[in-house]
Amino acid sequence: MTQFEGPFTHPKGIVAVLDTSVLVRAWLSPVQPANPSRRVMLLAGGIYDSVTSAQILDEVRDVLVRPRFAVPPIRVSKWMDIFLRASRQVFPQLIPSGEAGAVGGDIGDLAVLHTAYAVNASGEELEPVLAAARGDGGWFLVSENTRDFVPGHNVYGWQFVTAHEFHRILVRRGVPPR
Amino acid sequence: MGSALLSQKQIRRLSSLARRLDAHGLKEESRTLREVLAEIENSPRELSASAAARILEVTPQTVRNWVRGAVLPGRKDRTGHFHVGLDSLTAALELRRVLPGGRPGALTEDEIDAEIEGVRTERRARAARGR
Repeated sequence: MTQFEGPFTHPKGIVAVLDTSVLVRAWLSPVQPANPSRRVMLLAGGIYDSVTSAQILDEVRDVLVRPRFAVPPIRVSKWMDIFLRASRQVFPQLIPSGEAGAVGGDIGDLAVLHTAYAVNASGEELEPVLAAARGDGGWFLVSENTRDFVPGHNVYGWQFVTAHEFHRILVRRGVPPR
Repeated sequence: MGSALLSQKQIRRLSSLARRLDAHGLKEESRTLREVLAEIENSPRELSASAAARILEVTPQTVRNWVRGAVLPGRKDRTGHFHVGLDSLTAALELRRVLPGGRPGALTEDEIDAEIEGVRTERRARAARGR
């Protein structure tokens, strides 16, 4: 058992970056039955260390305000403020360009890859979080875009998983060994 | 239990309201509101495993596993019941408040992906024009 603590007081032992495909689905999810994207998003900062960036959140906003969804920008901003408070933020725009693009193909410019790379390059700030996850639950890039992020593959040490699989991993945490 | 779900921000807003009631001479209303707020602030800052499970949208057993495994801050009381610190549920509570809750089956996966791809195509085109 542990004492009550704030969201960033200690590393959770598992780090994840949620892709645009997950965050958009989380917003669009019904309450009942909730989709896996909504479920993993709700656990950000509580059960795992969530890392995000303005690049990802800008993309999510741009998708949700399109005529197809027509979400008022103020509502998206409110949600993002809360999600940001539950997450750690990195700044991919400060990382020299090229490295994230080295992944190649059509996905080299995806915001989630730049964000994941920025976490690796963040230095001392996120090192305790990454170190704890390295020795425990791992690092995950959570995406519903399984064409570009094939589950089980990884890049820069980030394992690709779907929201469903990531939720399963989270639920298994703390299950006593048989 | 319902009272414990007020956030600190909401409590501050209600405290401000009490002050305004006072300023308008509504002493009785202000006193009642202050008493209720005091009760809320003095109530245990924790929820049962079942209540936490509803907020986190998992099963109560998962919450118990998380508390037992120190994944989620909480405790087991003398009677064997599990409790979760309200602070560790704040983010999920706030996120649930702002999420709209769409209609089941309203959109297909392909429709969502097409909109995301649309944004990326526009961004790539803008970036290409800017070069």
